[in-house]
Formats: sequence, structure tokens, C-alpha cells
Amino acid sequence: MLDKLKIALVLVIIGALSGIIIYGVNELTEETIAQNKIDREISYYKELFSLEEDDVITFDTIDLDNDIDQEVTIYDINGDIIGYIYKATDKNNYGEVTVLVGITVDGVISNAVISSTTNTPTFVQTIKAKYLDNFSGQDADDIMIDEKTGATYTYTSVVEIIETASTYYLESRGE
Amino acid sequence: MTKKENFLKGFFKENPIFVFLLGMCPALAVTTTFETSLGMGLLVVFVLTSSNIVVSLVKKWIPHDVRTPSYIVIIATFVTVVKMLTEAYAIDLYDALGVFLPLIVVNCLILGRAEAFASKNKVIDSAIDGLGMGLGFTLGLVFIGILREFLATGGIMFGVYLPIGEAPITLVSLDMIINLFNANFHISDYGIKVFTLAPGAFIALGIILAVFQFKKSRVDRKLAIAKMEMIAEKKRIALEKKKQAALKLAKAGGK
Repeated sequence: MLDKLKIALVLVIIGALSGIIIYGVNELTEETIAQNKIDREISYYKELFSLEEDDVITFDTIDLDNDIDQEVTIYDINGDIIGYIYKATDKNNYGEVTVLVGITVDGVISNAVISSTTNTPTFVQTIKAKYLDNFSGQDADDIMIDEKTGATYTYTSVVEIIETASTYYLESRGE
Repeated sequence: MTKKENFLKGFFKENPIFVFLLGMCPALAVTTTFETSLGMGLLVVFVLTSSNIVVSLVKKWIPHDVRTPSYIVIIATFVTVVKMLTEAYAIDLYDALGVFLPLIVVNCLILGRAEAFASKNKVIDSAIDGLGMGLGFTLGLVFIGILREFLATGGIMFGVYLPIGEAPITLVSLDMIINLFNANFHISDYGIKVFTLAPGAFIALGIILAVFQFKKSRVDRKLAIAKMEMIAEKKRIALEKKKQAALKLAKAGGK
């Protein structure tokens, strides 16, 4: 009995010390990580609409409770709408894929980026390098997709998100 | 084993990747470029050295029955710390390593060294073992990374993922030589793209393992020849001694 208590005590102490260390490092890095995420998000917004790094933009974010997580409206320096960005996450057998889809006010997909994913990095790189650009310039109401990509799960998730974003755009913003 | 031998054993003699074939998951997955290989290697050095030190420090207090889960908790703590620090201060590397960064926790090299070395040796020796083995692991990853990146792109870049310097620089590129003769040629257009993919990782690892084995077999052959020569020499000396003894006996009999 005493042996079991000793084992339990040792495990509790190890767990507690680990928790304290992780808490300390989290306190130290939390703000930097949050700032990095914001900076990364803004750089994605600019990338989606082919804007320069020093271009000034403002944006409004609306959290949604359907298949789309967020709708972000992007404004230029004069307050004119550049376009809309739809953020959504899809789960597949290899984890999650979060995609941002940029659609201009004319209903044209300007670009799509994978903002975060737990899928296999090599496959994600392949999709980023070869297949995301194919969506640029397509009309939101008529999307053509590649059938053979060699990275089925990731690409299927990306396609689903782009189609969902386009459908949502057409329903809420389309004429 | 001296401290120097303890430190150096992980580089070639007991290299985790090329000799023990440990940590194959990151060795195949994140060695697309030299820089991601180096980044992963340095993170493993930190986790391996830290966990070896802590395991060696607390080995007396950890009951034998629960030593493995306890070591895993210790390793997982350091991996979580490394993950947070990388996400905060090297976000490009964090993105490039993806899921393989938290997977350091199941790298059998780290648990293996905790179990086989740190739990039986003093703190300083365990730290040296962790550092040496970690650097040996890094060396292995970097070898594969350099081979893959060079064959895939014809050059080696630095500064893309690690937070060092303002802009990426080209460390080596065949363009530097080829452009002396043809300014419009880009070697990256003619790279062997399979080396950026998983099959390329296996091919690169296979090539390096073959070179290692070739070198090892030559050393083994030399040792075997030296051993045979030594045995032959000993036999010859023994035979000579026998002959001399027989001669002496014959002389003594003649008298």
C-alpha cells in the first residue's frame, strides 16, 4: 500500500513540476505567439489580394456559426471594400486544415491560402506550390478543380472549404 | 569511456541515424532542406540534453515500475517548451516542421538514451551523452537535408526558416558556376524533384547508408586481414619455436 502511495506521489510531483514549467514558458511566450498569429493573418490577407507588404488595410471580422468560421471584410486606405475573406477549418484523417479564401467584390476568387494544418507537411507544400494558384481568377459560381493531385486528403479539404466559402459568398454577398 | 569518447561516439561510431537507425520519422519527413534538418536537429539536441540531465538527476526517486511513463512526461515537458519557444521566436521553422515538432516526444532516440544511459549514469556524463548523441543526430539529418536539397534544387539556401539575418542567402548553387557560361540558365528548373517528396527521402537515406556501410565493410575487412596476419604470424612464431625445441632435443639426443 505504501509503495503504491509512493508511486502516486512521485507521479503527482513530476506532473506538477511539468505543469509549472509549461505554465511559466506559456506566460513568457503567449503574447509573442498571439502577435505572430495576428501578423501572419494580416500578411495572409494581403497575399490573398496580391497587396504589397507596406499597403495599409483595415478589416472587419464577423464570427459565424456555420461551416465558415469567419468572414473578414477588407478595406483599402480610402475605406473602399477590396474583397471578402472566408476562413474555415476542415477535419480529415490526417488532422485539420484551415484555409482562407479571398473573393473580390466582383465574385472572383482572388486566391486561397492554407493558414494552418496538421496534415503531412510535404503534401501541404505540394498543394501550396502547385494547386492553390489554380483557383485564382475563377468565378465563385463556377469552380474547376484538379482531379489528380497526389495529396487526396489535404486537397479534398481545401476544395471543400473553397466551395463552402463560394456558396456562402453567393448566398450572402452575391447579387 | 572518457568524456571525449562519450561525446564523440554519437557522431559516427554510434550515430543514431546511420548506425542505429533511430529517429527515422523526422529523418525522412523534415529533411527536405538543409535548414529544416538543422532546425529539427537543434531542437532535438535541446530536448535530448535537457531530458538526459533531468532523468539523471531524478533517477533515484523514480520507482522502477513507473520509470518509462515518468521519462515520457519529462520528455513531453521539454518538447512542449521547445514547441512554444519555436512558435514564438521561429514561426517559419514552426510552420515548416508542422506536426513533426510535437512528435519529437515519441522519438525513440530520446527515450532510448534516457532509459539506456541517463538512468544509469551521472549528470555530467548524461549531459555529454545527450549533447553528443543530439549533435550526431543533427549531423545525420543535415547530411540527408543537404543531399536532398542539392539534388532537388541544385543549391543550398540558408535563412528561410531560421530567424537568422534579414533575407535568405544562397550558400551553394550550381548557378554560380553555370552562369559564367550561360546567364539565363537556372539549375533549379532541372532539379530532381522526387527528392522533395517522401520517396526522395528514402532514396537519399539509402544512398548515405550505402556509403556508410561500404566504408564500414572496408574497415572491417582491413581489421579482419590484420587479424588473420597476426594469427598467421603467431602460428609461424609458434612453429619456429617448436622447430628450435625439436632441434635442441635432437642435438641433446645425439650427444
